[in-house]
Amino acid sequence: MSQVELRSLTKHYGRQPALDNVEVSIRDGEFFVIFGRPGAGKSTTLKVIAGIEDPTDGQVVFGDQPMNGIPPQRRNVAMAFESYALYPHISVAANLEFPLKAPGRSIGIDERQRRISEVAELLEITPLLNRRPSQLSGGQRQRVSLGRALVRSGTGVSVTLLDEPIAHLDARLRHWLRGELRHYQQKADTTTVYASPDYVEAFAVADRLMVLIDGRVRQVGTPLEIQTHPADTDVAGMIGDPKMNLLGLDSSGELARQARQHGAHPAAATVGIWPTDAKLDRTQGGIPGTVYVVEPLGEDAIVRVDVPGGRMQIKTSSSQTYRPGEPINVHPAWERAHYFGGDGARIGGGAL
Amino acid sequence: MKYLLIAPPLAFFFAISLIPLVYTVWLSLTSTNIAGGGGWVGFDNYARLLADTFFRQAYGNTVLFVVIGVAAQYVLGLALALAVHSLTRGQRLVRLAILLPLMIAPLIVGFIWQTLLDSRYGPVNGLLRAVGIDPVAWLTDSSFAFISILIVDAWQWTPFVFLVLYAGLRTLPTEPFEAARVDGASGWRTFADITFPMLIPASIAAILLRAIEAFKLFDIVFYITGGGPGGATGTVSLLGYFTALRSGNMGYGAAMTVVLLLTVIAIALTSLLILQRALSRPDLSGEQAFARRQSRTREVEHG
Repeated sequence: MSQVELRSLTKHYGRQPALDNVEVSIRDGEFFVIFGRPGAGKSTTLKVIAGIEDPTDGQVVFGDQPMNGIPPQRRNVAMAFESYALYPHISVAANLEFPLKAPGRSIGIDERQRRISEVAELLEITPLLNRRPSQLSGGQRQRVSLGRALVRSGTGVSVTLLDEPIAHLDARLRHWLRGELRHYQQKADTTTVYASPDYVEAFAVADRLMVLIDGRVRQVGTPLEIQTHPADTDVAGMIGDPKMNLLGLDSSGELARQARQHGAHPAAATVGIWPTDAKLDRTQGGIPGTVYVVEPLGEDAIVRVDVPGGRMQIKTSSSQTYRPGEPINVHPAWERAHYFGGDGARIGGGAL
Repeated sequence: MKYLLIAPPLAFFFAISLIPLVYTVWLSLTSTNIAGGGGWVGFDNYARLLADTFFRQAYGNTVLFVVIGVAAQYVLGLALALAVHSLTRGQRLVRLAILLPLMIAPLIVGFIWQTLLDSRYGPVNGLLRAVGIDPVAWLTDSSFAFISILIVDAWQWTPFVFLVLYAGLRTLPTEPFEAARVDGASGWRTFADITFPMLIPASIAAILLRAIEAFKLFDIVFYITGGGPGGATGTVSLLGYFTALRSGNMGYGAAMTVVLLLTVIAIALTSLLILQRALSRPDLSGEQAFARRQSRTREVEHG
């Protein structure tokens, strides 16, 4: 395990920049998540850390050891690939054993077997150990791929890289493994870098995370910091489940008037309101709107409401029923609203 | 009407393949000579073949050419394909250079190599002499003549094996190789556990096609040694040609080619059967690993 530093890392594919001046320091033993949409550069970052791809510019440093020019074989990283990358002609057990048998990693057969059964148990793939990858379903393959990375934790691995390792599992397993991964990582105390486009997953496991948009780092912080202080509208637009409502404040509108009245920053061009930070009622006051659609989700329901400035998603209790087309009033908790300037950068608000 | 539409290719197939084949089989059961004489002899020709030392030598030579030649070409072709595939630049040029021999007609190849290997005036011996090695009787000594044919055949056909395997390599997914690098695998293990197994389908195609072709080896031998010295490099197709068309013993020559055909069919079928079985068998190493694990757990449970 070690600290991982990315120093002004840039990667071009032809003319296309995939990573643009990425600068971040991942702490020793940290569970660090790279959060971004597909194509943001998450996999590229991991591949550059692993040494599979060479950066066009910049440096990768493990501890105080610069890694540029050192091949992946000698970086001692463990990695789970988004596309699984299993070895097709050897069994699941042999796939899991493969990284343990590399030259220079003298791990005895008993220890190897112990690790394989432990990881197989964790990922529920014990009955599959004698199968070939071609005989597995997509979710099973993904678990084997994850297992091949986890089997090495605690063997002096400098960093574990997980590229969307549970994206293709069913909801039950995904939810359960999320917690298990976190537990496993803390127990083994390995520096882990985890790429995910999924908000819930990313914010649930991370010690800290980095928001990557179009190859640029837009924000680095703890999940709480990012939730309470999203750096700009792009970041704010990616977080929350459902995501934060971002509404334009044009000067003459009712929304802008009310926002000012409740202490909005004079330069604010956009207001961000969490779906849980607004109430709906049928009395007077608030922002007038029209119910667009209702999604009942058990105890809660998501109500989409058309208001001046955009369409909001509001989380309410299911006990209240709303009909599409019905006029409704939205009461935001203004004291918790986030304000962003004309360039999208955060300028205030968002008290807890 | 629909039969009319497939009539041309069908007629072509009959004219080119089926009629000559049936005719050859029929010929092999007669004592027909090139002047038109002779009659039905049943399996006499085949009985004669068994005892014919010339035929047995040619048959042995053919089998050796196939086994040694194709094995050597496969190993060389695979090595070349791996080497070229790993080049970071200049792949296109090297590929072209390697493929050149394939584009030359076999008779020309024979001519080129006969010149190169000529004992007295050939450049190969010239080079050997220049570095102080005694000249070698490439085409007149029976062992060296045999080796020379192997070399020339390999020179012309290794590029074919290379082409098939290189194309196979290019279609392999890149991720398992990236994973292997991250997993710290040595070059040898990557090759043995990943590259080679993934290349098996392409290897089967290359070896089978080459083996079938090599059984019919004719042109290179015909031009370079004519089967000599003393039949040391004669092949079945060469002997069949001499017997049927030079000596005019059509029936007997036909019997030789029929034996050749049956051999090729038998080998192709057996190898396909073996491969099918090998590929459908569950992975043994995985099963063993699992069994070992199971017994280990039992030991722990029973103290």
